[in-house]
Amino acid sequence: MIWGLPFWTFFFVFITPVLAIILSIVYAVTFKDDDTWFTFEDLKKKNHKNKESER
Amino acid sequence: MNSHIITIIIAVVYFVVILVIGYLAGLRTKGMKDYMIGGQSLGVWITSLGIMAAVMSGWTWLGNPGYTYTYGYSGHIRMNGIACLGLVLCYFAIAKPVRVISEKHGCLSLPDVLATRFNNNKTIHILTCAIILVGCFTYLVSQWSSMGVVMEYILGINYKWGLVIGAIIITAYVMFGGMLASMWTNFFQMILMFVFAIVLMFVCFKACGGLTNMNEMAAAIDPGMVTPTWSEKGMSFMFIFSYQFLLVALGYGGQPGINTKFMMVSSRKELKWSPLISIVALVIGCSTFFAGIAGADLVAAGAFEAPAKNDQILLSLIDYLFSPGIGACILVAVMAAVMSTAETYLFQAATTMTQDLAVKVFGVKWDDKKTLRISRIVMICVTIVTVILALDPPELIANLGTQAFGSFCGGFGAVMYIGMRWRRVNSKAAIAGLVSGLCLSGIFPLINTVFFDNALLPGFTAAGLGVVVSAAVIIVVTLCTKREESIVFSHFTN
Repeated sequence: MIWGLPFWTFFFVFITPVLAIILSIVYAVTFKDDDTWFTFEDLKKKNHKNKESER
Repeated sequence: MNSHIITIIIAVVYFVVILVIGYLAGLRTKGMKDYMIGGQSLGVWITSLGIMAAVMSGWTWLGNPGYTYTYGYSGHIRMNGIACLGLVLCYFAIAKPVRVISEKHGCLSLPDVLATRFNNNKTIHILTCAIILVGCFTYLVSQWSSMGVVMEYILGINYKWGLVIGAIIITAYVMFGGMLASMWTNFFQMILMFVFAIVLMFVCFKACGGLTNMNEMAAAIDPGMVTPTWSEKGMSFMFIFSYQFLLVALGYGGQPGINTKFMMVSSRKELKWSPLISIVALVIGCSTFFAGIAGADLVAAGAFEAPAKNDQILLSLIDYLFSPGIGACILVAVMAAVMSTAETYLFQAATTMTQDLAVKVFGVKWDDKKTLRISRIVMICVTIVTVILALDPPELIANLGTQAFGSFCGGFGAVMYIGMRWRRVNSKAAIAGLVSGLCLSGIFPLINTVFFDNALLPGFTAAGLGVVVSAAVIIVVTLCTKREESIVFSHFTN
């Protein structure tokens, strides 16, 4: 029991907001002021490049 | 001074303040860009808090405490458990793309952005307008009804008069000042809600002898009050999961009240810290659920009598815990919550009909000033129709109102998230996603409620399934059909 609550209740009441705040700070830190954004295709290209460099 | 008179004075001061804000915003509104997206001139604070004010409806203040009063913490987890993570996902996935598309292609609304993403596809434009109109009309009816209830309680007037007076005030400032008025008043309303939610939370803790004691008192009433699920009361794991994890967390991006506001910031840079402000506001705003737990404890301890309806627990608690002045301010914050949501959907409905359907879809040639004038007239018509429906809402409309949130999440959520982040998604996949999401998240739950008394899929939120099915349909149709190059990615170098 934490503050009179079972762990999972405590998690959804107090931990998820903290996680959300941490993630929103990550958003701010990684934010790029340009007119493009990351897409699934970029992920594929990265994988492709990695494989090529391994060869 | 009599507490009722204090409440009326504070409510009247509040009305005057928002009408003045509306008037000042109206002086700065010169054309449709100002009217619909505040001329893309808003700062990070106004935008971020405006987003949250639109999300926090009367439900946050009346339904939220009522729900936890009935279902304990499981009620809170079902409604808000990971909502803040869903909002962060929404920022990560679509905030920047929506802002960039709006900036580069001159989009002023969600239908506009989606149609542009799929190369000005008319079917998508019409479909999104239809979903928004049905959702906004029904949402408005339910918000006007809440307004009537709140005004009746605060001003002590008849429900119907309360509803009409509230609707006239909102329509006046939104019609005149457009989105600028809406965002400025949203900001003011959010500050009110923010301050009084904090006051309410700490006073509740104090009344119960601290947070731990409050929870122990709740567990003594019934251990189910503090557990994350409460199957005996219907709060099963699947019921909570399907609503909170599938619908809310994955579908937030489909809410026009949220995604339209990403277009309004003065520059992309302003989006940087916006999620942090919104998340803090959301967490504080939703803390009203503690009032439900404290209410249950105090009723069990015999401090005051149980309210006639569970949704009225906050009102009973305010009477018990606060002096008339502070109590009146909290009641005005409740009214602000109802107004902030109602104005957002009133505005959406009117501008969707004029700017999107008439001008963009059907190509009616109105200049900017004429479109603005007609938007204002349409707004009055929307108010009249929805107020008449809200005076005595037909069962179908009342049910539709409760499905509107799900329809937006299921209809738009997956299309927005996947469509913005996967260039290969084409118009066929988007149409299939929109239709399947709408059918499962809007139409199916409605049929289930009206004709089957929720006997189909018991203990499961069908609307949540809509988000997942819509996403699956988009992926399958995209992979099975030809790729279309979208104009919104034309400037991408790779």
